[in-house]
Amino acid sequence: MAAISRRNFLEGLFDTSQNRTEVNTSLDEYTQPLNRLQVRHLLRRATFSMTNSVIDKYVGKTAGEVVDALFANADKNTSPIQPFFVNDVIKNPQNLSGKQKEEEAAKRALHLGDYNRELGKWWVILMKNDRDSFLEKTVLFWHDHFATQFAICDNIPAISMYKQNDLFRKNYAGNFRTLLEQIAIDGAMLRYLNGNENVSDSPNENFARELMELFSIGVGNYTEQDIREGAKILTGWKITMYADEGTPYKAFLNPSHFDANSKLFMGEVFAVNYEISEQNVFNNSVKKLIDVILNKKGQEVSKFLANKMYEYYVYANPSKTDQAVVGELAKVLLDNKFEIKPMLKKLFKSQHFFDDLNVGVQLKSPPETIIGMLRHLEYNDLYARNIMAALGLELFNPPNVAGWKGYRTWISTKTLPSTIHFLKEIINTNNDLALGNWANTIESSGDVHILTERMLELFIARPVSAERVKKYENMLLAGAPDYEWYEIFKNKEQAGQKVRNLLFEIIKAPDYFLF
Amino acid sequence: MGVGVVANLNIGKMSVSAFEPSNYAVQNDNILVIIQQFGGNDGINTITPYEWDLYYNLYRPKLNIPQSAVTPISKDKGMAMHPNLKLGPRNGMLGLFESGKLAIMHGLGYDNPNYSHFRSTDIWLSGLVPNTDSEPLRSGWLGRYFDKTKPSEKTESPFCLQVGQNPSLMFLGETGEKSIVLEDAEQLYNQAKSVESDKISIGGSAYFLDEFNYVNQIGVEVNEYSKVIKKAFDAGKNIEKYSDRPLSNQLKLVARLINGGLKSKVYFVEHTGYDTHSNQGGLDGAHSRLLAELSEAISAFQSDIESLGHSKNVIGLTTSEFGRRPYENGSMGTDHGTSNVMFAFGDEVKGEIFGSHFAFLPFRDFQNLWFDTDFRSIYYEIMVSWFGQSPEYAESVLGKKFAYISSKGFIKTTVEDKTLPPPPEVPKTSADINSPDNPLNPKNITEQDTFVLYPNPVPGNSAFLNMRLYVQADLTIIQSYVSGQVLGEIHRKSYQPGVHNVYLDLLGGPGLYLLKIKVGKRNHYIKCLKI
Repeated sequence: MAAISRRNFLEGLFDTSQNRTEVNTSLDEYTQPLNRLQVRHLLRRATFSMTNSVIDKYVGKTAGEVVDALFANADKNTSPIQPFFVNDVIKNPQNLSGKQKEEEAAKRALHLGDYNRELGKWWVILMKNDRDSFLEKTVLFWHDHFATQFAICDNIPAISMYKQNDLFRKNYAGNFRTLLEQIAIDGAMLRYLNGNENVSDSPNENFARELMELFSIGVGNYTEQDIREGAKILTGWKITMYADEGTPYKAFLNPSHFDANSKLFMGEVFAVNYEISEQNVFNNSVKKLIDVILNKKGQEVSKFLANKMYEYYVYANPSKTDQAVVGELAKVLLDNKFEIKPMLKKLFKSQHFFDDLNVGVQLKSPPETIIGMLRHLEYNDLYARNIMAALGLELFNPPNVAGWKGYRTWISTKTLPSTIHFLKEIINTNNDLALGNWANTIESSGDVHILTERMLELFIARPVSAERVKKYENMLLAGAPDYEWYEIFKNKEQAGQKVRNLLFEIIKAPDYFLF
Repeated sequence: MGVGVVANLNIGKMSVSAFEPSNYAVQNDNILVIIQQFGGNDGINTITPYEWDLYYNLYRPKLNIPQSAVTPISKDKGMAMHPNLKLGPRNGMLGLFESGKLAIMHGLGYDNPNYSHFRSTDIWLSGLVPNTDSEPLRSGWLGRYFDKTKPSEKTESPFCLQVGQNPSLMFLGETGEKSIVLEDAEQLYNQAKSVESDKISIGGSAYFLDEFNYVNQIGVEVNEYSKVIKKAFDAGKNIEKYSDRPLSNQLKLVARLINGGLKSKVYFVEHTGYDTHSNQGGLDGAHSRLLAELSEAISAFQSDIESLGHSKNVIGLTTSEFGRRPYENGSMGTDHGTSNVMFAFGDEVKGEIFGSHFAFLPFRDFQNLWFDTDFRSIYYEIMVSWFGQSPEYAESVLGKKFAYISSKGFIKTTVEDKTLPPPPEVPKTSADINSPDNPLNPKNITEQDTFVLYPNPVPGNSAFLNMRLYVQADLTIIQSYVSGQVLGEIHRKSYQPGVHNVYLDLLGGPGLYLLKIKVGKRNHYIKCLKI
């Protein structure tokens, strides 16, 4: 069995002539049963961490079956256990005095600081445990797309950040319209882009500008007039974190801050010919604004989103040839009235997605490396969150509203050595026995060839040359003949030491940083 | 590298191949230190127009730096320095100016400015001003500069060194990164030991190879350069005392590496926090604190470099991605603007003021200033005068040549070049509604406000009134029959001067009506046909 699978494993290895222009651009379904390499390709793009049992489950199934299963699993898990602090409400310390004031101020500090880090830890755990669905990877896409930082002048409370994350999770592959409508009155976003300071007397254009530039249409496809009018349409929304100042963490309308004049946005009149109530303003201003954007700029929006998703899931530096695929995906999005799931399903089941040219070409972001390792070894989840922050991806704290730059910025002269350094720290937190026991969870790990192959499969996307396989096997054997591994492996502590050496060698490889 | 990256860079009409290393990128031992004031520095409160009433009364009624606090640096030009710019060794940046080592360069910007933070940052870092907003900017000016290096002149040291976290677009060339990013030399050295340091050949598709080689190359460079950097760090020292702030610490490391013999041409440090949309504050505010840190860091660095004996070969430059608007906003801050002031420092810069205060430039629209020096003039001069390149070399990096600032340039060795194109033209009239030259200024207005109703005839009840108001006024619109009989008031609101589109919901059925528009004390009439 080992021999056969290694033949599969080396498939395509010597095909070095392929050029990007030769990529299969068809979005038609790939109907062949998936081999191990293809299952791994799909799982890597869908999740942050793989296990052999999930790979085994899907080998031989069709792309259609596996993709449907990955979405069905995601749909089932959109309501995970909430962070412990979500129902912990506070009062405004300014309205209190004495000991009460101190207590509430201390609580407030937790909500603005530590709880945001706890929230990162909470998400790390979800990412780590999600190895069989599209959910967490897609939630991170939305966090990057609607980038909101908790660490601003006056930090955003963790519950607001959580609620935003929950919005992304509940709508992970839902309708883009809903996401746009809801993000416009999202508590964290209202704080982050000054929506709560956007008042009729002096409109703040911050959110309106980014709504068009970064969230929906893309730079250059709207006018400054659109931004000014858009800002007026979005006036009046507020958010509070205090229980004594309304319903905390839920957006509400302050009618006296809402601009009741008519506005002209992209040629559409926004008349305020209704009673100014929260529901009416949401329906006739916010929802209508999104509606006008999606109607008038549907082509631009679908292209913008399809392209961004393509870069996230397939390849971050698409060529002209790929643009044709993106164009077709945009059409699927538009035809489905901005429902996202049909487009993603089309993409992940397609011949294009499974083309060998798309395998192993993405650069790993910090969650790809860190969560990918964390899944297998013991490590503190909060520290893992901190490591990812040190490597440039701090959960709930992107560098700015444009999100993470991604692609090659993940691997720089700064991050490459520190990623390896931190991975070693994670590996070294596990003693020899623990590593040996982990290796033992891999089926047939008593065969040195299979164990090496399985470990490489977990961490490296494409097949490696026979010569390199030999080198890696030798990290385990240390000169012993291959049949002796079975004996060596009986002593888990001794085996663990060798497994550590192999892991150290794997995380150095340039293709370890690709997926 | 692979197909996608090899593509020629098309700057304007000129095609620059990244693979024609026709010149040497390293002509001399001169070093440039760049301090990026990230977020858009408010130049008006950095160098204040201290004798200008409008600064205190009109533009910055809340956020001005009081006249009594500033130090005048040019009575003639009406310029003074923010008081915090005298913090640091030997009187800070003020001391540098007084000893002729600080160039204060006014009016830098570019045409058709982009107000997006990210886009404008990319424009400054790339040194390219594209015709359209959507054209991607994929390389930086120094990245392209070092793209042209011949393989034979590759030194042991990285071309550029960035102290901080994130690689800047400035150093990204068509053929890859031209810089090393580090925070701590020892740490880099220790961590680099476990990076794959061999160049590996591997099979696979073109794009996989492209990315594989990219990562592999980073590893090779880290390994190689970390040793060189560690060596320089161990051999180097600091003499001057620096304050314990991030910017000071970064520059301290730069001085030590230079002293230790690192041959990098460009060092880059980042000072963050300048995006002061709100709570910019006055003398005790956030912006003032940033200037204190800036002055302390720059003056300590310059003093250190002098004491260490490198000041003939090191100049520094501050850059920021845009200026801020003259008018303060309603949230105690200032918004993204256009034109700005930039500093250069060192023994080899001309310790003068270039240009008049940029705040005196006319407005290009209601909010933003014109510029009178293209920011790329500075890049161009650095390449020609400081790095000793031919004008053609500099032109190939930027796509064209640029006039030196005030035609003489800010570097001592710069020779005036009459063949350079002229500086940007600045229109005479200001679009600032309060400017005395602006024909739209209410004080200059002899003409009346204008009103156009559209569509007219009006189908149904909805119409728009397009109006240009020259003074702030309370506006009332009353609809009546042509006979004069009033139907009712249809609009009432106070308006600022400027162009407005007012939505009107008209009364009555089809027919001819009069709209009486009362603006302050004046009345205007428009006929309107409803169909």
